[in-house]
Amino acid sequence: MTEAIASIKPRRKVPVIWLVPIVAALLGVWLVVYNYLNQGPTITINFSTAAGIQAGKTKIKSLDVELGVVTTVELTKDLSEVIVTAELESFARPLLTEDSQFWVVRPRIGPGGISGLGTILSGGHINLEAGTGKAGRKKFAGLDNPPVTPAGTPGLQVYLASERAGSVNAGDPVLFRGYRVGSVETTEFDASGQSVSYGLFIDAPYDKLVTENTRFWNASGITLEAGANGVKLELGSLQSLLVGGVAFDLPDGVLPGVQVKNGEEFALFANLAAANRKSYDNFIQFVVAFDQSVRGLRAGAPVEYRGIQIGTVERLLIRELVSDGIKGSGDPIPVLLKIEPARLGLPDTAAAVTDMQEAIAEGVKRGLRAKLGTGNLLTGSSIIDIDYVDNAAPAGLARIQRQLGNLLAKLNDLPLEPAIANLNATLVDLQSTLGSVNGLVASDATQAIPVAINDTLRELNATLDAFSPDSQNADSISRSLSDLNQTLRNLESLTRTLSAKPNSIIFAPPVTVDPVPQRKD
Amino acid sequence: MSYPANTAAAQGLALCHVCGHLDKVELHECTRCGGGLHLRKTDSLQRTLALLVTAVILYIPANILPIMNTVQLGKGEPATILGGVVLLISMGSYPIAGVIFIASVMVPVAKLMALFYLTWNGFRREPASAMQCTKIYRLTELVGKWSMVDVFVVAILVALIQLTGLLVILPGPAAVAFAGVVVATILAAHAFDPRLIWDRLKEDND
Repeated sequence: MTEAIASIKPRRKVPVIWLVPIVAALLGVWLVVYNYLNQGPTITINFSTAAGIQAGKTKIKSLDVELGVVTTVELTKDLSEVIVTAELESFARPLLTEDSQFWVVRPRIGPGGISGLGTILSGGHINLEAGTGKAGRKKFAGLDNPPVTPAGTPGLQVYLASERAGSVNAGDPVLFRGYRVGSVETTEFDASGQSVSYGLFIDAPYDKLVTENTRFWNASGITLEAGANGVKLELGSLQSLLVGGVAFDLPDGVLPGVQVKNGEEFALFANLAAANRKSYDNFIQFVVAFDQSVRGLRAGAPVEYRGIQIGTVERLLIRELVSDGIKGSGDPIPVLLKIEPARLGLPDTAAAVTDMQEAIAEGVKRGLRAKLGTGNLLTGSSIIDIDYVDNAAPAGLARIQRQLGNLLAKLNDLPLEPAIANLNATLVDLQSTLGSVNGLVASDATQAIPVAINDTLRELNATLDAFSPDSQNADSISRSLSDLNQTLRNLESLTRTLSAKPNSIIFAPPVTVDPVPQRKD
Repeated sequence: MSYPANTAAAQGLALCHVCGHLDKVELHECTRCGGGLHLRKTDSLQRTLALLVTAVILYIPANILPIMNTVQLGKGEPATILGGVVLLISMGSYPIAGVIFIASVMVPVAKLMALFYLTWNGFRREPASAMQCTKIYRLTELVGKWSMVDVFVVAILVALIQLTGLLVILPGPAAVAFAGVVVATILAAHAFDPRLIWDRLKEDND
């Protein structure tokens, strides 16, 4: 039997149990390090007001995910703004891009509907909308209102220029054939340019609808237009009636063209009709002169040749008339016309313009003249009608360019010296003429004129006698007057009908169809 | 170490840790259940001290981190232990503040300090009187029963108040740390062998 030999080892000085506090300490250290490494960024946001923001309570959220909390709310040194400092979680770091936007979410009612209802109970929070730019920004300027379009949304940004602000506001819809495809983001009035600039955002995929030939118009509310072509009433969709909006589309018969790039600028037309009005690149300008009243003639009035529109009235040249220094001398009123050959189906080219120009010049020689016509009975607006006139007064139509050129040429080679010599000769002539007039007055025949006048007066007396109340003539006059009275009475009833139903002059009164009994199915 | 002659230890006898059977120490294993035989708890002072250090380390996050997160109407309001006590005092709930303060601050701190004192005495060459040490040990035992109160408060509140959307109470990370403190102190108290107090006494008396 062998004796078991126990191997004896000295006891460990430090028991294993000390691993427990070491592990605890390591855990603690790891927690501290982990927290330190994961400490999120501290950012500052400037707001115009601290309404709804509380230090230590107000959260910063993105898509309703909590990113951090506001730590301090302070005023800037000039007391004009509020600086909000917030500590964010580390995972929020990539959200702090150059174009990130911050705004306070509180209950709001706007064109886009009611938002932020959830904050009634929980109190406001600051919303972070991350952009697509480079991350790492630490100081931000907060927005007063939520942005209409979140940063980084795919789509197209275009700008519209308009001379009037109309009823388009930020947040209004952008409609394509009545369907909302985007929204108005900004409205800015440019004081120097005297125009309003609207920033529009068209959401993808509708951005493809915007091409170089696209026309934008104000689709807000109701448009009532009374012109030479009658009365037009235009109604937008119900939504645009209530909140306004901008619509866009291609004008009829126009090819879309190339898709536009971001930031393209367009004109904002006042209404659909204005947007649809075709623009012609090539045109001829003429000046016509009217020596009668041009009442009812406005810029944009049609110019027609035997009822076919060939152009429009550009404007009345009153300013030029007055500045020419011919005030009140009874000169005819010049009106500037724009004749567009393309309206007649001719190609919209310079060649067509030349052809048209020659044709009109030829026509003028053969008696082609412009006259004022009544465009619309109700509105009293006028049109310009061009037609051939027999025995026309010379040169009614003249091209403005030629006229201006001729005027300058005449001014240049004005024959002043021969004119003065002529004048001298005329004065000599005048002297001799006056001498012969003197002789004429002294002649016997001239002396006899007063006697002849006396005779004439006597005859006039006799004629007046014939129109005395007892005479037959007076009878017939009074009969004529009573007839006129009757006519006026009839006219009065017509006026009444018209004032009750103005369109009855155009449209026949509705005929009510007799009810026909029908079997109910 | 020599033991007084009139004790079991002096005669090489020890109780089994598991079944309490009296056996000779030199057998190293209990003849009844096979459990280990030791005259005193192994490394009693070292173990107690190590667990106490663990408890102290855990006590730091237990007080710094929020123990409870009261989400009222969607708005979270995390509260630390001391922050909660201050809040309760400011609300005028003195009795509740007192209970929380006693259970969460006074009890664990008192227990930690008492055990530290006892272990320190164990290492000292000239320890304090055995009577004093005994009193302190009794205090440890008395107080230890209540050390879980705070964890209980959190556990019960979390379970009871779950009105989703209106008021929800969620446990914070400090609750785990605090539970760790409590468990560590319980184990420390268990690792401490009170007989060590009186071993020296008998030595002295001898």
